[in-house]
Amino acid sequence: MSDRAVQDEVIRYLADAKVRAQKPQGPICAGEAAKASQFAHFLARRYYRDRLARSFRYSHRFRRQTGRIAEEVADVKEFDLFLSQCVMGSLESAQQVGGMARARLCAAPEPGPWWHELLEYEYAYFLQTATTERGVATDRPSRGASALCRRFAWAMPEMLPLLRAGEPIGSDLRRESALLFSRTYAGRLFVVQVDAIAESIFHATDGASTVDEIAAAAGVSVEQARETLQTLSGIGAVIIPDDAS
Amino acid sequence: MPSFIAERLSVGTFYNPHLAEALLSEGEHIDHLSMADPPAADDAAFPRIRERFPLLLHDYLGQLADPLSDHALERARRLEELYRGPWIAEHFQCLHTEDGRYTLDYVFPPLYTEDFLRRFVTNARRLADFVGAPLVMENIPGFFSVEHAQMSEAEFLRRFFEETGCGFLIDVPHLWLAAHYQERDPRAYIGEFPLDKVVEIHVGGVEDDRDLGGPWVAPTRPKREILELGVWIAERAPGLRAVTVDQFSPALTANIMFESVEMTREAFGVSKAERKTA
Repeated sequence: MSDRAVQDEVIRYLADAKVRAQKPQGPICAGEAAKASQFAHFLARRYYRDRLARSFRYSHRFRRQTGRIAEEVADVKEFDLFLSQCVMGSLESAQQVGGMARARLCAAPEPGPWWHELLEYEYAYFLQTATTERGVATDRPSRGASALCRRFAWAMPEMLPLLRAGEPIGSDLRRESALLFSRTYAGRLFVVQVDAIAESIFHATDGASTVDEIAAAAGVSVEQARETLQTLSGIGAVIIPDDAS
Repeated sequence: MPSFIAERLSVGTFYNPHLAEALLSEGEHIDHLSMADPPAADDAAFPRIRERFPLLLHDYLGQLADPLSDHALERARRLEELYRGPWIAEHFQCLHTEDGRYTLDYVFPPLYTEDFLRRFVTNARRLADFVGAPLVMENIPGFFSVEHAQMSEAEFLRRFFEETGCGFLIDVPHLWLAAHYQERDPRAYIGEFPLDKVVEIHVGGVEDDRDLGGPWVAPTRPKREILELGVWIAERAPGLRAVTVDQFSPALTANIMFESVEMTREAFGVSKAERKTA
């Protein structure tokens, strides 16, 4: 085994609790495995706390009213159990941590009728910041690992700047908006407002359907489906196999 | 754009965008700023920061355990063109698996082996040549030992600097932590490193961490012991040009930032005289 491969083994050991559970000693020096596990917990706690802070930054502004912030979940007992099972950067781990934060904030006094929608927005954003896992490439178009499209009951693109500026949210913003959240291979994050066609095409992209089938499901021409898939691919929302592009 | 101080030691800190206005209004005793991230598109203060302070490129440019992509090299060159610092910095780290599937998202040292030494030498030369600026490399602490290491961290670094001619960015808290967890005397441990290659010193705070059950780096004021070790290193580093307080965190407050720089200036005997740039 090359030195580089051994280093990869060390990185996997630290990032993946299942690897540590299967092979407790791993490539670690005798007597040092407990310290390595401690370091793995340190890395994961730091990783998720950082991403919670970055992703739940709007709800953070209401901490005086709610008495809660998302990062607090990194310090609760439930999180210690999570650390002994998590795979850093996986979608499943991001869903678990994001779910803990969302539940904690959902249970707080609501600063406004838009509160739960805001938390859904921040949860979706968190999945992008905390997921480095890549989607599995197949011979059919598939979705990016963390990509998701959601309809909000409030006009989020107009609401967020007001929250940032500390201005009130009027009921005129209780208008539906559809947002697509994604992350590129290089780690660039996107939140884009999508029209009904792009939304349909994204939902029809399930890793099993061909471009023709996606077009039929979305009710558009094959050419339009192909163009939209290309656009979605550019923001990491879908993965297009070479022969389908 | 101001030039880097040439006639004395430059004492600076990191650029924390949330403290930009405080830096602009009260940062007259901060000589330079290290840039850990590129300026955000919506960072309205950055153009004024760039006009006011000499900047050092201290971004993540790529892990030199592997060849940098053309994209990473171009990005490094663009950032250095923006900052125009006297040198660029990277770390002795290997935190991503080669296939990119796993990352630790935190500085993590490579195995100290002949193979990794060759990799770092080759890739560091390529980075410095491509960017056209001197490269300094920062030491990274380990918390546990791994099988397969063929030499000590100090030997790895000494041979790297001898072969590449790169400068040493010595991070004092990192070395203090490494000594602490190996139960070594910090001065004896640090004395094994090539201090004659030091160009820049990082000082910073440490705090107990719940997972590690002991100290680790934290965005707090530097400990007196860390500053004293920094001064001890400075006395043995004829090529030293800068001391930087290593604090980069959204949780950092302006008070802690200014107090930390002030403590560092005092420790290194740098007066509050008006900044003269060369």
